[in-house]
Amino acid sequence: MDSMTITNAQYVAEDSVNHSIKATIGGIEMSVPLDPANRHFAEIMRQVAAGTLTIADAD
Amino acid sequence: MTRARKLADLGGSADAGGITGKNLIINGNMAVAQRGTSTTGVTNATLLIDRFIATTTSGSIDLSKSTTAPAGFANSFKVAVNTTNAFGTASDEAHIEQKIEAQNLQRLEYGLSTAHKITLSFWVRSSVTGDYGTWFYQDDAGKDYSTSYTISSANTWEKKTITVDGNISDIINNDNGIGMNIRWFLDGGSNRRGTVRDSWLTTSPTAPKVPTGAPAWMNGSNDFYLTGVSLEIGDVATPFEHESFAATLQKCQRYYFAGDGPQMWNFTGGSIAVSIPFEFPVQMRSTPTVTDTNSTNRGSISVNGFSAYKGAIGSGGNWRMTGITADAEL
Repeated sequence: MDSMTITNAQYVAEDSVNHSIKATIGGIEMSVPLDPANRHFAEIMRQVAAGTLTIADAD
Repeated sequence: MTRARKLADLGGSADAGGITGKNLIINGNMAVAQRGTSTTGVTNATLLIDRFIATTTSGSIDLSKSTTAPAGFANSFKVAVNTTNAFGTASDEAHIEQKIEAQNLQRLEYGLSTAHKITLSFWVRSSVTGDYGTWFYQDDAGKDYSTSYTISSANTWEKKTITVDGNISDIINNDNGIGMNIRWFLDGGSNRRGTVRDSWLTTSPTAPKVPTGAPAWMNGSNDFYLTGVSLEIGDVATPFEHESFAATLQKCQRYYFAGDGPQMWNFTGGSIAVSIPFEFPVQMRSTPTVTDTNSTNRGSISVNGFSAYKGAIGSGGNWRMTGITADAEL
């Protein structure tokens, strides 16, 4: 299934370098790479730019 | 029969050693459905059958991998109205779509005077007769080509063939982005309707995609079946290129993978934390979005694989990463 309802976005880091975003997409927790060619990352960035989504800093 | 014709027809028996790779559509016989075989109440753009997206902006639809199919095919993609809607919003649209990766379309020679015609052929069956729209969109150029076909008999399989002129003005970038979208429109609101343009023109949201008199498909208990989809160079539709399930699955896995990882046992005598690598069966189109059902965290995601971290496996215990999905869809 597929849906672009995105919530709970948070950067995931290793050695203080962000490598992905953990987010709930369509009700499923997903690991989204920081790749502009990835459609989920592109949609997250679109929603962030539109002010409808924020990405929390990594723990 | 010409030699060229005989050679082209060999493409219809790929597994028998004929010409392969003529079909630019992936999973045109609707055989592969890694996400499941049915889902209901769809409103957002949704993938069920691999590589095929379906959506409606109003009302809702049910999607399934159907065994209703024309002779020579085992499956079709069935879209059925779940919640009817009169499509009173001008921008409403419902459609099935496949997006084709740009680097797979370089042989079309778009942007050159030698740009080739392409021919789309497919089997279709609908509960409603009438004119239906198909829409080709060249993403890098922002141009579309709208055209139409007619379903003559309700609830009857019909084969349709559509030939589209080559675009001599605009190249398709040689990359892993979207080269072309192809949509089969089921219905459209008032500003999606009009006289289809039958040429490559600059697109706009209100450019016609659905013939003026097309049926109000979403406003009734209707269904629509699609299979045997082929897109090939030239102005002739040759027989569908049947290939093995494994070959089609491998093509689909460049865009989406679903499966489980290997099992790991802990023989250390104490609890351990582990990071297990998982390699995708096919290099994916782009770095995928990854999920699984039971790891603690995931990292090192690339087009080739990723690593899953599990916080604790007790002594003598085991753990297997399950429910892996990797999504690199266009």
